[in-house]
Amino acid sequence: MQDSKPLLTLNKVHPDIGETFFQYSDGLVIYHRTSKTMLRLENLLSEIFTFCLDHPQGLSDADIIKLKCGESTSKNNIADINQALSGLKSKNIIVNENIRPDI
Amino acid sequence: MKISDLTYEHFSHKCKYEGIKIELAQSVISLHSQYPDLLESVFSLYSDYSVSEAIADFKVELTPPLSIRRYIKKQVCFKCNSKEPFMPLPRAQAFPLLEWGLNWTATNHINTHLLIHSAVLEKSGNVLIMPGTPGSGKSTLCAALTYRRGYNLFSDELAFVGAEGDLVYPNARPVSLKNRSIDIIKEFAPDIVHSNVIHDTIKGSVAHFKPPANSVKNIKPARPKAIIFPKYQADLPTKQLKLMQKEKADTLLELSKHCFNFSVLHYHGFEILGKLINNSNCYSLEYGGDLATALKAIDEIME
Repeated sequence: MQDSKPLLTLNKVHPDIGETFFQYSDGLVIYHRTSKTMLRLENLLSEIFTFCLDHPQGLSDADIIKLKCGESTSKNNIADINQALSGLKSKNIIVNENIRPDI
Repeated sequence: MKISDLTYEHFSHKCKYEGIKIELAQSVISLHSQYPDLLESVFSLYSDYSVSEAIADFKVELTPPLSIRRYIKKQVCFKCNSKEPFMPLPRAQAFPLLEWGLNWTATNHINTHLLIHSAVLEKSGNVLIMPGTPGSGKSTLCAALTYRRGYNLFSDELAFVGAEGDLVYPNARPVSLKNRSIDIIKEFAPDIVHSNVIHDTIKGSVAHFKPPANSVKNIKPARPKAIIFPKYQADLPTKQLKLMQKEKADTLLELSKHCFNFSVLHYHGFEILGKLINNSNCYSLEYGGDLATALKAIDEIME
């Protein structure tokens, strides 16, 4: 078995983020339960957040490729998306799990 | 029975010896004090409030301190349910201390609603919320709208927002004005009863204006319509006005800074605040010295 490279990457909304969020024309506001703070996400960040929210089981490689190249974010390049993903991870807004099926 | 149904002698006797229970919109207080000037102001400014027979939520006392300052350079203490949250103040500041103490009492004990530091008015079933930092002119606008534009006063200090964010509850009490605003409103509405002007407080000169009887009697909640962040700008030409629609995510974050119990209500407070913003149009209003110009702009928003 090759164990050097993850076969599947999951990006899920962190359980600290409540179910309710408010989306307005100037951004999306979410609430972080542990730190008791509100966070405002704009543009690409809000798009990735809602994409993750629409995929409660997490994102497969295919979903991430779709996010990177698909309809909603086609104008953004992959580097921007990777940066946004790591930004959301660092703020505990989404979680990332690397799963290596033991086959 | 209203306070005005009592004689002053009966009222002051109750305050001195057993406490008088006053029904505010969101709580009942039992007031205890022996200071004649304080009691005269309460008797005058709270005359339209009901005397309650219910158990009081808060026992409020204004008493001399247990030190030499009860005799020399006299001071007064505020107590709520026997706790003393503030340092004593000069004796002449008894009535402002009562009002500030009642604000503290509400913001530190009432968590059934989201409490926002703002002026709140109602017209034709629609509520206007005006949050603002000290000096923004919110109380001046609030007084002018109340006394000259026929708005119902919900509060000059606190918005009580219900659990679903779709109703705002009244809590009318005397309107607190400071420094130049006192003379502006006296000129604008010369017939309104107000307390003596108390000088040299931590907020400068302070006076309290009596809330209209209708505002005290009306205790029905109403739907939010507009949130306006006012800002008095001394450097703007008198009749100039800058009225701008505010983006809602911005408003949500800014309004959260004006909430007293956001951290207590936690996630629930966030939901109430978001729903309140969803239900409201949001603006910022910068105005020069001319109140009439600002009032006209607010009237148009509330129509």
